[in-house]
Amino acid sequence: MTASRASAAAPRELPADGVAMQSPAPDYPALAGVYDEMVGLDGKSRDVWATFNRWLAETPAADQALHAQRIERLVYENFSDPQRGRQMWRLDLVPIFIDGSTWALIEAASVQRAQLYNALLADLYGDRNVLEQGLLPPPLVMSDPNYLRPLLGVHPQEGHLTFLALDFARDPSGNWRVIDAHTETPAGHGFALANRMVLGEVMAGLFRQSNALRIGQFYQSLSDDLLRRAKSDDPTIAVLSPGPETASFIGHSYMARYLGHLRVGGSDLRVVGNRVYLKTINGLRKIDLLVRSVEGRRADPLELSPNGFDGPVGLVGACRQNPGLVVNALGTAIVENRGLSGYLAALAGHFLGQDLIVPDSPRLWLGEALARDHVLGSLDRYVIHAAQEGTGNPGAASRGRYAPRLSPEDRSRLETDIRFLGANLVAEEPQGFATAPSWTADGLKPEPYALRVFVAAIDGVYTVMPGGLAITVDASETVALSSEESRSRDVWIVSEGTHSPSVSLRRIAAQSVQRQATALQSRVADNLFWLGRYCERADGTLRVLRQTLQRSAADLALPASYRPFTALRALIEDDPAAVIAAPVAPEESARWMHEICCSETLPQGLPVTFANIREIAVQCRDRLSEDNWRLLTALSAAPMVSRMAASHGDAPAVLPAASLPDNALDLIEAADELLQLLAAFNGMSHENMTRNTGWQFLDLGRRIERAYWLAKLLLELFQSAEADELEGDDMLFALQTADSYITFRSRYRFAPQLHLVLDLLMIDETNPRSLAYQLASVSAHIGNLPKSSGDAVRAPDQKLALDLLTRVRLADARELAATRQEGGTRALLAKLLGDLIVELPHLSQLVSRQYFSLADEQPQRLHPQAVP
Amino acid sequence: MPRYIVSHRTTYSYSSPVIQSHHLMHLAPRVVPHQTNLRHSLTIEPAPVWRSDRVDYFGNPVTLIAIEDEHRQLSVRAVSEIAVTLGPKPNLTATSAWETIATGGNAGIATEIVEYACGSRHARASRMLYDFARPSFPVGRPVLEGARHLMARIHKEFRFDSTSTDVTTPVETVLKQRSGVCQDFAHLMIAGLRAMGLPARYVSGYLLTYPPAGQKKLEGADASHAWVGVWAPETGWVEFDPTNDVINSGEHIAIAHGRDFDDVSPISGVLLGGGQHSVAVSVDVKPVS
Repeated sequence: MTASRASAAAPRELPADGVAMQSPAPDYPALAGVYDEMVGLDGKSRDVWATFNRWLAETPAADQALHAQRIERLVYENFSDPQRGRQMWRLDLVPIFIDGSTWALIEAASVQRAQLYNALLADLYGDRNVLEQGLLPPPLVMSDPNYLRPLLGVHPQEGHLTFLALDFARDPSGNWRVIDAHTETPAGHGFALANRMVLGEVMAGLFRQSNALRIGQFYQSLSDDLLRRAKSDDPTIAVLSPGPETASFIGHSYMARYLGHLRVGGSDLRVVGNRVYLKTINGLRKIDLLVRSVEGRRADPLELSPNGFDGPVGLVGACRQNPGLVVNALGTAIVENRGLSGYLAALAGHFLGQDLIVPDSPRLWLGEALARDHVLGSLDRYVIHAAQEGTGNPGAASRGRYAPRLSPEDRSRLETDIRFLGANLVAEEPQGFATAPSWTADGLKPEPYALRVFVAAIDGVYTVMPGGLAITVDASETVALSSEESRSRDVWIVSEGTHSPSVSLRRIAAQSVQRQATALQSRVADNLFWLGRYCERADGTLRVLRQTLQRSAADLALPASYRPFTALRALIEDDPAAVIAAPVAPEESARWMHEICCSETLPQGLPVTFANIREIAVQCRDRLSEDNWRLLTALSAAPMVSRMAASHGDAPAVLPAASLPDNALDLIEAADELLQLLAAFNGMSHENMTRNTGWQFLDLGRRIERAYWLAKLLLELFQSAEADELEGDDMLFALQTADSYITFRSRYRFAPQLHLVLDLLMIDETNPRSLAYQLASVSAHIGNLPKSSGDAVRAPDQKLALDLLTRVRLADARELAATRQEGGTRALLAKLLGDLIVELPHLSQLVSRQYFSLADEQPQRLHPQAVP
Repeated sequence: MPRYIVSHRTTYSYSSPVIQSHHLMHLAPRVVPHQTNLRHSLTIEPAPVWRSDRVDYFGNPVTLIAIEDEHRQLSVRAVSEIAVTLGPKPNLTATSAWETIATGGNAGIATEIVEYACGSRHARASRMLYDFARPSFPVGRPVLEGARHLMARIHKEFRFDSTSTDVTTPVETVLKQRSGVCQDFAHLMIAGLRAMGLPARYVSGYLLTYPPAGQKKLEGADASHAWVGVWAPETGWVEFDPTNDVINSGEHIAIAHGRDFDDVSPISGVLLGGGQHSVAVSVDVKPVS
């Protein structure tokens, strides 16, 4: 390495012939006869890798491993999909370095492609000269389900194509080809952005030294230009993406958040009279521009695919009225058709009067009889692929069918498909791939790769993002497929010239968030409200569990009838009448604890609550800060939840105390950790979220849940005044569980008395844990939410909130504590708490009905009626 | 020149209120060579807040509507008066040999005809359909002779059974079970022709029916109908009705053409709300003297 270090340390400004070739890392096993990005055929490292080689030589292997781990962790924390519980893709420590002249070629080829596809789209959705003149066989277009006939004649003023991504690959001799074009959705941007964020952080020093181009300005300009195109003073721009159940969701919502646009689903929108509206808590709000991240044919169930509900009903009509409304325009997937490959050169001549700068992979479209016969005659040479893949999600391409690898039945099926469905198939002889170095703990290894390049129309000019997304590919394949856990690399363009002032990614992210002050989406309000409720539910449940376990661990002699054990019922039972009527059988409490920790179905249990938090967090991904997202991912990534379940699963009968297993301490520790994370999330949202309507819904949910929980707990503990030798301990339990013990001690320096405890936990509005405090917050929030009319009359939700608050305010703690019925029930207390337990869910429903009802609408298709 | 008044009523009933609905309707007759459309009216209840009448990709009149009034019932009544001209009987034997038209040999055939040789959702080529259609197309047979042969076989080999299929039943299933309704037979014939590489299209419309001798015709006893258009360079499109084994001779009133049912469905739509729904249809074709 010494030689390498010495030469690599030479200043980069030296003319190329001075330090033209760096020695490679000595242990890099470049493949013989295969073009490698880092190492030339002469075995020497290319100039553009000099900075990296120096870094590699100077960085001990252990430090490299630490960097790799850090990358792994950051990718996981920020971009894993908690709903799937797995990492969606991996990022290599080694970026791919591309020099200025290579990049100039890629850039020119990409811009040419964008112009060509845009012209072809205008033609295919217009006069169709290319079909009439025989430049393209009509069945190629007509057999593609992505040719959206209802869009014929709809011409966006600024072109059909705003976003385009191209997958480039080199063959083993180093010649470039395009293996796929992605014209349908801006797929992959999210991953490219994420990779740069992570690598830019972990490898910050190397990035600075290498003089690589920044990508921030590209997105800044793009975001600005979309605002311009929205043509409104106060524009609403939304990214229309499929739901969290799809693999591309994280990428799309990450891009939406980064560009500062709303992320919406089809059911968040509604078309009224040819205009598209967003459902918000203030009613419908007009959308000025939709960035389309859903498949075009699934974007309008009325005029396009009848089963596609990814867009709002009537979107095609809205596009006829305003062709620039949706970018990319509906129908752009038609030019992704791989069957076009053989016709592109002629089309480039026809539309641009140019030669194709970088050709497609050589492919045969099997709709042509000659091609079909030829391929059937020498099937073993070709990989057969669908002409239309329909997704640009990196790694989602399906494997081709390669006859030598097929069983006799599959081979015969392939032959039949070629004969009858040839118009939807292409054949290609595998071309092979060049390699680039990939980091492993044992040193660099060459890996075949493809390079995704992103193009966007900015101010009417196709502009290439100066970076990209490199994807590891299977060398025997013809398209950029990859495993589910795609391996990817960042792409660093090293330019010789000086850089224009560039904007860092993080600065844009911060700015763009403020750009749009938009009315809150009904769905988002709904999600935030329930996020508040579920987080608070988890908090309350964990507090009761922790106190209960601590007591059992501390005093093994406690009887099963010990009331804090029975208080577990408060977590499960939602009917106050049941609490009042039914005494607790001691053995019940053990079962409850087990259920609360382990049950996958109990709605109040921890597994379900954390699953709900996880689901909502994914849906709100674009609304959560990085920090909040990390916290929620940590909460729901569930090592601790599963630990609780695991340590508990084998030994359901924790209680009574006599049989307390050793793992009680484990459980307490797990509860502690989870409570800390919840506290961090609450604190973060309290400190860092702006006090807008979104925050109000989050806090409203939290307050309603906390009041509900506290009312149930107090009812369970104190409604019965019987056999009260342990009541002192119950009070201590209530104070500790409700986090008010210190307050109580600082006020009253003697053993708790019930009326003082009830006053502090119920009526004292200065105690942020009291019922009255929660209800006062609830009432204030509801009062501040937007109302549909300026009525002087209070809405039902306002009335009920005020009523509940007033009832608690007017209560007298002494009376609550003292008044008893026959049988020892504290009647006043039971009545007040029982009313709250019944009315708080009612209040929650009223809020839902008023603000989230629009979010609940799910369209359905009218059954077509058969023609006899 | 025979004239007919066609009255087509459709009523959808919903188990819970529909908050908003969008519909797309193919109920107005398209312009075809052997028909003159004298008048057409469309009555929709509740009244749409938005309506757009256009001509669709395939040249059919289409009405798009949006209803914003909450409703539990949608009723649509289309009334059309149409004069039908009887053209000369097409000379089937004088048409080109089928293999000169089939995909592969179809260079020079206009795009909008080639389009109908391409597969669509309900009617695409497969080995099974090819094997089914093949016996009707020996080498050199005139294309429309082949089509007539195929039509006759469907009529003979398949049983009309309105309970054996629904609108989602694939043609392969129809082929296996040898039963279906007119829509299935139309799709089957189209898919068979496309498997041979031939252009074929779906025609929706009405068929004039006659009451049994001595009985009065019942109101609403008629129905929507579907049949098949097959193309030959000598004749243009000729209509074959595999359900009745007849070539259109003036008793078929065409409303719309498309690749298959999806392109011409009389009423489709998407609802917010509505719960379960049921539909009642009555069609009446009345000759005007």
